[in-house]
Amino acid sequence: MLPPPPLLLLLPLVVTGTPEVTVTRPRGVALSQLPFYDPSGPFRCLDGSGSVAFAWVNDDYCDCQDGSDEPGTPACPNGRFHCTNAGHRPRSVPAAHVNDGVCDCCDGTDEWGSGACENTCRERGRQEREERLRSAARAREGFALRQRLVQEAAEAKREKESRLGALQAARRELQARLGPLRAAKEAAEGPEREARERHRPREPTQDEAGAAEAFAELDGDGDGRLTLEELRAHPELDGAEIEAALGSGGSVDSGTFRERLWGLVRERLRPQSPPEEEEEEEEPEEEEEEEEEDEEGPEQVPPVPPQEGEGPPQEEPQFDEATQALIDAAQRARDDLAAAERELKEAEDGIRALETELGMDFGPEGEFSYLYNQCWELSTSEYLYRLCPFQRVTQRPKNGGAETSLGLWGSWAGPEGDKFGAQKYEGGTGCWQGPARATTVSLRCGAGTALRAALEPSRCEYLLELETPAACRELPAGHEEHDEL
Amino acid sequence: AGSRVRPDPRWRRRWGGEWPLWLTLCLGASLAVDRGNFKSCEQSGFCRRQRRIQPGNSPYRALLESLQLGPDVATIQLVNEVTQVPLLLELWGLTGNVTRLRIQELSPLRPRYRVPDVLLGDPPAERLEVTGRDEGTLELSLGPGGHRLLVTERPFRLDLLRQRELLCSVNARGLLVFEHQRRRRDSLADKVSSVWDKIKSLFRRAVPPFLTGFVPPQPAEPPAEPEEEPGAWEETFKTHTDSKPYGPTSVGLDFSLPGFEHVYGIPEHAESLRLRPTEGGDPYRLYNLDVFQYEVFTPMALYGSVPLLLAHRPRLSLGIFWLNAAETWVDIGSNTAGKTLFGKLLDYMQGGGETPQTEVRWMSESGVIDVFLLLGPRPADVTAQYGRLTGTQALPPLFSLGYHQSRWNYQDEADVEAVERGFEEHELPLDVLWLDIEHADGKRYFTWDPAKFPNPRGMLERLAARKRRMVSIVDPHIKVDGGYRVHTELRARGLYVKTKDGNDYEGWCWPGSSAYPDFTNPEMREWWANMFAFDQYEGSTEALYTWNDMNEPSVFSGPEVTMHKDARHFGGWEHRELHNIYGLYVHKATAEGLIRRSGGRLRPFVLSRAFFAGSQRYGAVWTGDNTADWEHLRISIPMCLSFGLAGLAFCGADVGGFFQNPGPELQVRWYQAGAFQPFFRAHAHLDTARREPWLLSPEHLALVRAALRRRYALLPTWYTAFYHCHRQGIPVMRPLWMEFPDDPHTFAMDDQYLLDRVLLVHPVTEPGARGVNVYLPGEGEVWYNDETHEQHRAPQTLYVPVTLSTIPVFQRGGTVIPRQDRPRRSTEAMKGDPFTLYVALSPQGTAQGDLYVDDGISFDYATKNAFLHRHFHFANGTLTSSSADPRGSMSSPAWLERVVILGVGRPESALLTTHDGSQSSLHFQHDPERSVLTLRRPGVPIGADWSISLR
Repeated sequence: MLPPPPLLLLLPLVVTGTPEVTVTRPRGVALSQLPFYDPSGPFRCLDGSGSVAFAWVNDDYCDCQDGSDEPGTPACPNGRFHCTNAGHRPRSVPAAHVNDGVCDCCDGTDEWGSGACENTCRERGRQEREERLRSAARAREGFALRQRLVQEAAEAKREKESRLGALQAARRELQARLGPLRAAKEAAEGPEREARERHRPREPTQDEAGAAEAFAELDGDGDGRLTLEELRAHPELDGAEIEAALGSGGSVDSGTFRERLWGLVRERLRPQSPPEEEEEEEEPEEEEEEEEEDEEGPEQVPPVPPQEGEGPPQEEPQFDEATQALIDAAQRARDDLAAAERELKEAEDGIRALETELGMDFGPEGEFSYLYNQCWELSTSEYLYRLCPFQRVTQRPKNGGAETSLGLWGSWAGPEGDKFGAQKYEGGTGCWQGPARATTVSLRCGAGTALRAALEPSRCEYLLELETPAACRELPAGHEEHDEL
Repeated sequence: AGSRVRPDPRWRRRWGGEWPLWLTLCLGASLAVDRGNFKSCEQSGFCRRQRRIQPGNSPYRALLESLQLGPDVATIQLVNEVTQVPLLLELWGLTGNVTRLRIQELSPLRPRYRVPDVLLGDPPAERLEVTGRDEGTLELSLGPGGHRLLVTERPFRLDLLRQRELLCSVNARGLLVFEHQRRRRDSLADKVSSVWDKIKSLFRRAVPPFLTGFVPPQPAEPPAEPEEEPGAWEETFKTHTDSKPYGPTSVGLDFSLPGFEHVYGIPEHAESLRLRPTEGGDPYRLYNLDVFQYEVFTPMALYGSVPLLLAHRPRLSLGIFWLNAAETWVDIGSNTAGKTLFGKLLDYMQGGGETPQTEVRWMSESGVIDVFLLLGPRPADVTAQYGRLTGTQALPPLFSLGYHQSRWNYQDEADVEAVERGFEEHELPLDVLWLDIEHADGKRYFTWDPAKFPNPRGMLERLAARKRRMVSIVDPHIKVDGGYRVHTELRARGLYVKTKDGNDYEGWCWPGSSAYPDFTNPEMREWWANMFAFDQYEGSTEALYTWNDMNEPSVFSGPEVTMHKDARHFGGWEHRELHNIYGLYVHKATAEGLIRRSGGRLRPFVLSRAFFAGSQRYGAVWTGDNTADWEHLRISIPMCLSFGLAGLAFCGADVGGFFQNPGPELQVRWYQAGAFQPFFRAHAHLDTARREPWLLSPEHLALVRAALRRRYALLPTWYTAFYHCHRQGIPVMRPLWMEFPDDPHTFAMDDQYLLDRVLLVHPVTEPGARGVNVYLPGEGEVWYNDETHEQHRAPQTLYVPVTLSTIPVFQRGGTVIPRQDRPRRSTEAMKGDPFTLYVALSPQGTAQGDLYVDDGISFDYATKNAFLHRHFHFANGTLTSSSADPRGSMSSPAWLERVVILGVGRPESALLTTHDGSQSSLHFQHDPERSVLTLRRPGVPIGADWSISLR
């Protein structure tokens, strides 16, 4: 027979603030549980499931279903061993870790049988205290920064809201101005056209003749009106802008054709004939067409598009003063309209951007808003990672190669109760035989903002760690001393 | 990598636009094997040639007059009456009911390869005697087993009998093929001589019967050649050409097994336990290949080969061991294959049916015919006979029976630390963490990536401090890199496999261009073994063990993803001669390295993907790169059963499935099944999602924890089972028919099996299962549910309702199993833990079992008899512990914690008597509903004699 293991142990117990006292308690029992281990009577299992002689407590045989009769031995599969860890933090470890040769408690009491461990609690306690002080200092610093961020965010938000308000007002005002400006343009262009007509020789120009000829050719049914269907019968004229120029009416007469469409179709229909007269508005179209080059083709020097002001100056016919004044007035009206339209577009772009930004969830106090429109990078041995919060994550191999998208902004994705602890970016470049790449960015408190780690725990699932003061929380007073014995 | 894998597209980018052919081929199919990458019989010249031969026309004649009877061996000349090429047949009656026959050319042009290093030695032989002669027949007696061999002259055939019972016939169908070596003729001479040959052969066929006496062969002139078909001297498969400088050299032979309808073995195939007839399809192929995303239920070759086939019928089991390491195909024929049960019944009633019979035909590309007929008669006799020939399973170090966590790849030291911490935090036991190919510096094995693993020794020490270990991968392809010491030394020493032109053979593998050490060269193995010394393999410690992957060998750029057959090995042998044994040599050299680094003191642990007959002596094997689906979970059972029958007891499948992602239900079920298979390792492909158990829901995690704990509690039973296997060659994981050999119900069963002889395991392998049908065999026996201890009569098919937590396991009445029920963090942390005995009574109220204990790690059990082997016996109300092997002795702190007796009434008292005669009364509890008696804390040392009497 093996001798039963020692039942009780005299444990010197340091109770903070009182002189050292010696309390007798069964091995592995927490002080708070001591009243349940009364050697004067039988031991009742803590779950009430049974009752055994007190001599069977810690006799290295499991009698209680909850393991409570063996707090100091590994006999019960579900038992817990309590270590006091004087100088550090008390711990409860699985009873199965008792006497397995691995030091689980810093005071070494879990290895009472194997004697494998030294008491390292004081040293560990000191280290941990120091680390906690350091991290508390970091957290405080970070939290102070965060408060500033919150303040700045609020100011920035107010500023943006007011900018938005101003832009919205500007848009209303511009929209209101557009009608009159258009009318003014129409009004100025009528007299201008008449004046130009008057000034011009009456017989149709070669161009006008060409237009008439083309109209006749295109007007398939000869009804004097050119329809969309008739236009589409000529694939070389295919193009959205031509259809648009056809207008909502869907058909044009020869005059309107000459004015609105001839300029667009002339080149396609009659590539040879050099234009005699250019209407300024139509010039940009050609540039666009030229850009449709096969990208994979051998590189060529692109033909330089004709620039205004280059080459021989355009010969502008001389008008008399009155006509010139009408032309100038019409040009002013056109310029005014274009300027207003441009302003409106700018306002609308600004509104859209601001609305997107203001619609973002930057945290309960907007503390993360400063991350918006900025990017951070981290270089690992193989890759350069780039995080643009609320926008995208990318990765570029260091030894050359294309950038890979690791995901676009998805949502806040922290665990329950800490929603703002992590962000999810989804829908990155697709993976071979797998889903699209995705990234989780976990945010942790720090005094500065920096990417600290980039991992790929599973293929095509990335994990970035961003340090930011915005993730700092207020520490309760006296935090540093908390949890200490 | 576990793993042949399609390259990552990013990888592709790095290698620019040029796509190697193998790579294009790999990318073809999506999630199934690309059969076009591997040969069918029709595409393999010798298989095609041999299969065209029709049965019943054997040209071979035994020259009975040439019989020479030596002290051990009888030799008889055979002659091919068409070609007049003489062969030499040698016959042995080996001790322990084994008959060996070998056929070679009498005077070959050049020597043929006879597989070395597989047999433990020259097996002892019995004295043969001629016991009868008859016209055209010779009878030999084969030693004291009562076996006789009838040699028939013409056509040559052998019939093996025990008393009057015919066990097996050889060449009964006349499919003996021996393509004799010949000289290649130039085309003109070829034409002339082939005409002449025809004339000669016509003449010879017409030789009158009275001239058929013994004619001494005339080997002086090259004998007449049959016409050669294209491919005889050169073969092309896809883009690869095999130069075949020695022409056709294949061998083949048929075996008829009267009365047998069930044959097994010849791993490795993803196939049911019982082999199926191969008529109408390809034969089973044995050719070690790295098959990408293999499918189940095909005769295609896989990573390993053991040319051992078993046959079983009531009262008789046989084995055929075909010792040949060249590409081999096995045809199985059955005369009852097409018949329904009703048809057979009709035959039986009308008395007109044929006896069921299985035909087995072996075909190998080269080498000699060297066959061992293992004559049983019981299943365990056959596995023991095979074990005596090729060795038994090495006794694994105890830790390797624990749980292994692997993944391609744990990325760096921090990752390793985090994964191990996960096991701690979730209170999951773990013994070994694995590192796949990415851990090495640019796939230069024996090195560490300096950025990811800057301090391997520290990492290993941290693991060891928590009683855990690590395995790193060391593959046999060596990066061709002038700055890599392994490469420069091997090149300088000329230890690489050579091409047919004598240059170092290079192929494409994980590191890019790679060379292949010639492990068939003893000097190479010596060099390799020395690489595992702690000062050679930098960063290694005693806690680091080894994984040999890709040792088929896998050559991405080679024919069928392996080495060219005309590559040259040590001694000038062509790769074709020895392909299937290459992986064994890698395994062997590595295991020897691990032994050597400890000064011969500690047992090695090496996992290998390729294997051959004898690989069991070197460690564990697994079923390679499987897939995360239910089919692959199911096939893991018959695959490991087949491995076990062929000696490879330490078998496992990647838990969870290597390719693709398992759902939580499949993952849990796979853990439950894996917990009851010998080698228990979770592994996953690089492209799969992380699947460490705690990534499951808490509910599923709890089920995984429960499965792991059941595994660990049963480790004493596992270890004892491995000891049985190590000593006797009997598999750890056994088909039911091995223990119930007379119950035909069990013969094809492979969804359940026995662990040793004590536990019947029927893992749940169907999604959404509500219940399983468990067959409980054994006339008049009882089985006990391992969890509830409920008792069931046998035989019966029991419907067992299941939930996701259920693993249907039953303990056989009449057995005792030892357990260690304390849920520790690893096997080493269990050292010295007390034991619980589960005594399951037979209907007669008896039980017996045993327990094997040693230090779990060293060879002291063998060199110093430092072990305990206890025998437990329960009869007449008394449980007795006695020594099962008086040679063993060891001091152990472990003691007897508890005895649980199943199927017993409540006693008045339980009295413990120790070896010195002192007595004490034990406390106990009795559950009358389940008849379970639990004896509290006998406390006796586990190594002591004692008894407990119930009154």
